[in-house]
Amino acid sequence: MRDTVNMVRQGVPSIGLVHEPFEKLARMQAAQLGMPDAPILIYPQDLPSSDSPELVQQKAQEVAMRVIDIVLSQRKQEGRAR
Amino acid sequence: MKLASKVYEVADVDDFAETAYRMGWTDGLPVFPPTEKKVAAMLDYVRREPDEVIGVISPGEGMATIEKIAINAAMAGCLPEYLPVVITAVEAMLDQTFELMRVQCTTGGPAPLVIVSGPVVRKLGFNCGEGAFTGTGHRPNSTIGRAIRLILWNIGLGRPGQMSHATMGHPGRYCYLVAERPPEEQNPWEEIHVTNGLKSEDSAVSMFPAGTHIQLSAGVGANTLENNLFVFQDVLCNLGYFQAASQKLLVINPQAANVFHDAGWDKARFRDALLNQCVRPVRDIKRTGGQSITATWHWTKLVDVNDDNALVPNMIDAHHLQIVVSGGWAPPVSQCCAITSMHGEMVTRKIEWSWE
Repeated sequence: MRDTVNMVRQGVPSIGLVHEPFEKLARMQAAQLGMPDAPILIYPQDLPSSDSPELVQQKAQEVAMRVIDIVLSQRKQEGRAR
Repeated sequence: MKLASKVYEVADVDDFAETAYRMGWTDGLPVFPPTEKKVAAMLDYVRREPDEVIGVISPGEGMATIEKIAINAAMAGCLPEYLPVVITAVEAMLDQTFELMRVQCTTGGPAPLVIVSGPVVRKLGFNCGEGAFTGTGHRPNSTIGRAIRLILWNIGLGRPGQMSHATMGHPGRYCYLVAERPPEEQNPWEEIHVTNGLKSEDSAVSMFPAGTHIQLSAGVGANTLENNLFVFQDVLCNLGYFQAASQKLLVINPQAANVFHDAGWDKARFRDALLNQCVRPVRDIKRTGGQSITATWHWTKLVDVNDDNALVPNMIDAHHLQIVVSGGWAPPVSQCCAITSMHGEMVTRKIEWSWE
């Protein structure tokens, strides 16, 4: 979360990728860092070792698409702010 | 001396104890009141400004100032002359090699082990004999170990159920310190801080991110040295905590170290023999799982995964096997301890203080 917050403060589009069991940690640490609304993408709790390589790939693709959506929405908000 | 911390007023010692629990200043064990007088005495002793920042402690991102460290040391029961040790320990934990964020937060729930070595052991009266890891009434062992816990709890906010995700945790989290026997106290081998680049006359703190703590019966003196090494190897390479190419710590009782020493084995020879022996075949390691394959040390990056007979190294260089001589007299079963690291590696720092 330190990296995420630091990148955001430097104006670089950023998202913290967080496994669901660590959501509370991520949100509390972001708040401690002075950015409680830091961009965080929570991906669902799972056991990747028990998934097939194809399913892991599919999950990664889904997360990647969500990352792109969030970055694009950040860009739109920045554009409106200007 | 002006302190920055908020002052709380309590009616008496009992009121303080209840306030400490209510405010979450302790992990459950009682703490001492960090009165202004006690904290000021510590700061006077080290002659450092209270607002000097040693670093930021994850995951709570708390500023570890000299004042905050002194407050927690006072709560642990430290004497002022212990503060240089505590500050050095904090500095060591903040080295990236130690991976403090993971020590505080990972499901593996490691405990930070404080290893004290050099002249400071005798100067401050650390116990390095019987009951080396336990409460023996020796104030520096118990209170410095406890201060580290309170610093990580109160400044770093590494609290299970909140920002710490330890599945099981480690009993050493309450207080975890071992002092190495100095050369004049039956330690025939090079001290751990000397192995790690300091001089014997230096006093040092080494912080080890401990995932396990296993007492073993090595049988040194009751069996051949070859069989002794086989027992050490078997413990270090246990599948239940096998992590390829990762750091381990052996705490050897002085009698065992002297048996090896008298047979012509210095510390390096003992260490290198174990490094070479500590391997397990791929067919065994395939029975384990769950570790992230993205880790640089993952076994699949070290050997041919299709060769069931290929040998996976438990450790890959001398830095991966650290050895400390401590503890009391041992009978023929020769009790020793094996401790495996979790994520990070040990960091050794010289204590810049003379206690003259």
